[in-house]
Amino acid sequence: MLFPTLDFGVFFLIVFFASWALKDVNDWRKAFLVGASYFFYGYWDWRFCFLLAASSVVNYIAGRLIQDLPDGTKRRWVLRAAIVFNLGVLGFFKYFEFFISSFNDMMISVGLERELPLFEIILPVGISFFTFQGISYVVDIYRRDVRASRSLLDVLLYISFFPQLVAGPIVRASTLIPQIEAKPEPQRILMSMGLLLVLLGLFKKMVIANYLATEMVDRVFEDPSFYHGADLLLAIWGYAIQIYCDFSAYSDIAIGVAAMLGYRFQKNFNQPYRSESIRELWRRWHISLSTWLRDYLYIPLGGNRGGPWMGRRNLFLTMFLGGAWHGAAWHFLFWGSLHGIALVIETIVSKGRQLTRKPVWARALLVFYAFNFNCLSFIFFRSEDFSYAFLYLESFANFDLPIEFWTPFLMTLVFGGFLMHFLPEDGLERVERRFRRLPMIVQGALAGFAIVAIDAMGPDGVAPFIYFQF
Amino acid sequence: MTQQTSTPATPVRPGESAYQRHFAEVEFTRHMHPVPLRAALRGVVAGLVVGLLVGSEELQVWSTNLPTDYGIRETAFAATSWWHGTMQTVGLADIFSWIRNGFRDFQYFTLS
Repeated sequence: MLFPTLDFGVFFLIVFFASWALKDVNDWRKAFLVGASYFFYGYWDWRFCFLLAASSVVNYIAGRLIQDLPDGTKRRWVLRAAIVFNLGVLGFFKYFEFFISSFNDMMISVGLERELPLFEIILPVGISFFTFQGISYVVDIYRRDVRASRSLLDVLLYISFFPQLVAGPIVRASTLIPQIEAKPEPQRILMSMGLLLVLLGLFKKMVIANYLATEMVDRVFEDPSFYHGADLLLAIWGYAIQIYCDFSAYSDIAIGVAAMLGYRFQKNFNQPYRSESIRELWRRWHISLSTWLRDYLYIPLGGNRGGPWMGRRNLFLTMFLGGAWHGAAWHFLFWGSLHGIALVIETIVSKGRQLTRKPVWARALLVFYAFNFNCLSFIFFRSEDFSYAFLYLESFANFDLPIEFWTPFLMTLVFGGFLMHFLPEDGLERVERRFRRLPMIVQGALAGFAIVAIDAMGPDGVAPFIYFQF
Repeated sequence: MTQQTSTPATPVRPGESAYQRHFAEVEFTRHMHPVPLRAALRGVVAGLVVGLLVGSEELQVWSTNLPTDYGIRETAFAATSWWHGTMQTVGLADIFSWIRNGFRDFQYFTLS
């Protein structure tokens, strides 16, 4: 089920009224939310509900064992088994075909044409996200950051809670489980903020991201050689804005919907394109993934404890594996490696120095560097394979074709999407402060009107969110 | 046994320390204003009413994609068509078209 659809609107209204009607019986409320979340997930393909349930049950049992076992070695083995299970499931669905086809290609290249059978494995939507939540749950218990939940229902809800189930944010057990355990607070619903986030998310997805995709980016990436170099430049900037608006929209709506149901998530994007370095970009982009990679990959790899070069190696490995997380394809690995190399170079160049006061021109140059480096890496990220990516790069030299995409409309979307990163960082909070002064009935009416207006502005049809595929 | 922790160890109090520690990293709702359920319900109902009044066209389109089992689609389509017709008579259904057409004009606007 996609957020910007009337199906979801009806679903949400039922869940909203029913879940608050059950506020006095928390276990029933949780059971209802689990049922609703499985319906939400099964709406796409009900068979994978069993996978979701199996993942939750295994992590629940592992969590109980890790907490209850007194012996350090046994606890560690249970933790390892749980991680192997989670990564095994992820690896099977996400990477099995990639490894088999790569192995086949390798065998053919050395003259051994013995093809292994390929299965048409469907990638369950959101598998990376709920796998990462499962890993976070058992690791947090192992680290004694959070207690293992006594209730299977709590873990089922934590892993499957529908707002963040298929495309994040990756919510930690230490964030969500205490909220699930506690009784809902009907006197403290963040309604104004929830409405604003849903509206912001719908606008970013349905208007900015969808138009950029359908009017420019998809067409250009289909065959870049047909377009002028200037169009290719606008298209890759446009893709950067599209993917930001698409992905952050999902997070905004997820956070807003959860807030209206009485749960609080953290911010997942914080104006990433105002970053002055790739390092800063990763502190502002998909924050729940970058902090997850930091806490569950970079630090267990050793972090910077073995000296600067070990730190740089671990940084590169983390980004390389972050690239692999996005998909079983060489171009994703290359994208992750590019970011890893940039981060390593930045640590060498800066040597830990942080200039706090830079002149405006220097900051503008750094923003230009970070944004355009990111765009360059997106050429590899968005292309189907390397040949397309290199064709895109070569086609920048096309100057004899007519310029097609520099229209007022597309320029407004691209440059407007970029400039909104330079609004005050607490812009949403400021708007919320004004919005909440209105009576709630007026807020709701304005939100209802705005949803219809956004729907009227958007192109026909609903494109799925880009990050569903990950 | 020593614990490998990414952050300084803190005592576990569900709902408090570990939760607040990670939450504080990017928490942005702390200073926002919560409302009681009764007010929230009023807001949702108001939004629903306004959506039904000005979004009758989309409602009708949506009903055509409902499942055909048990005559759900036929019943829903008949109801939403009647509703859309009523809203057209009142004039509220035109708001959707005005916004759509206004935005399309901007979409196809060229400087030449």
